[in-house]
Amino acid sequence: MTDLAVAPDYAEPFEAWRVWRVVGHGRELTLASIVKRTLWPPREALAAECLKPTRLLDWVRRRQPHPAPAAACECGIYAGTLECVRRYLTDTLPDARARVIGRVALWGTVVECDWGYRASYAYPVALWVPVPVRGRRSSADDLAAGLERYGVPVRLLPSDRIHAPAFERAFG
Amino acid sequence: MEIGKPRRIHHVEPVKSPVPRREPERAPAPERREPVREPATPAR
Repeated sequence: MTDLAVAPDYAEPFEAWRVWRVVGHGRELTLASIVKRTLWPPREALAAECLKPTRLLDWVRRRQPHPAPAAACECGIYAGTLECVRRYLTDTLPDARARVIGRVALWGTVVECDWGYRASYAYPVALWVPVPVRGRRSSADDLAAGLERYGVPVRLLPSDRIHAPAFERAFG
Repeated sequence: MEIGKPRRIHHVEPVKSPVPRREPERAPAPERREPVREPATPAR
């Protein structure tokens, strides 16, 4: 896909789903990307940059870094359908304190893909903290309190509800 | 994250910023001071 026409299409941000890692302590919790080492600053738009490693050939040709996202690259801030992202909640990769799921606003240049988007700017719209069905609720409460500094609604969600049709109908 | 292949590019310029405003820092409450009373003018 090359040379696609870019026109100012929308005056409202796009919305889609993401899963974040939660890092930090106490009331100073920070959202972090699950794939990259990117931290999402509270009350500040996250701006995309191409994090793809420069290949030797690019270096030899002195290829300049490009604005993110570029359709021909894989860069940009990712978000997708609920179906697409919720499996990342239960991934068993080495992890931080917890993982949360939420809606995210996307704007700037937005590359629409088969099951999601890559955008140049993003900020959370709402967050859901999974509560283990047989776990301590207090730790989820602490997480929710620590994420309030993002200034968006933070709710608790029983882990088994994330796959429930009702949640899908309401928010998917 | 697997989101498939690119289909279209959109340019999105929100009229209202999706980022919540920072809450203004509260100034410390001014110290309460007792009102200064004017000395009563002696009656003449």
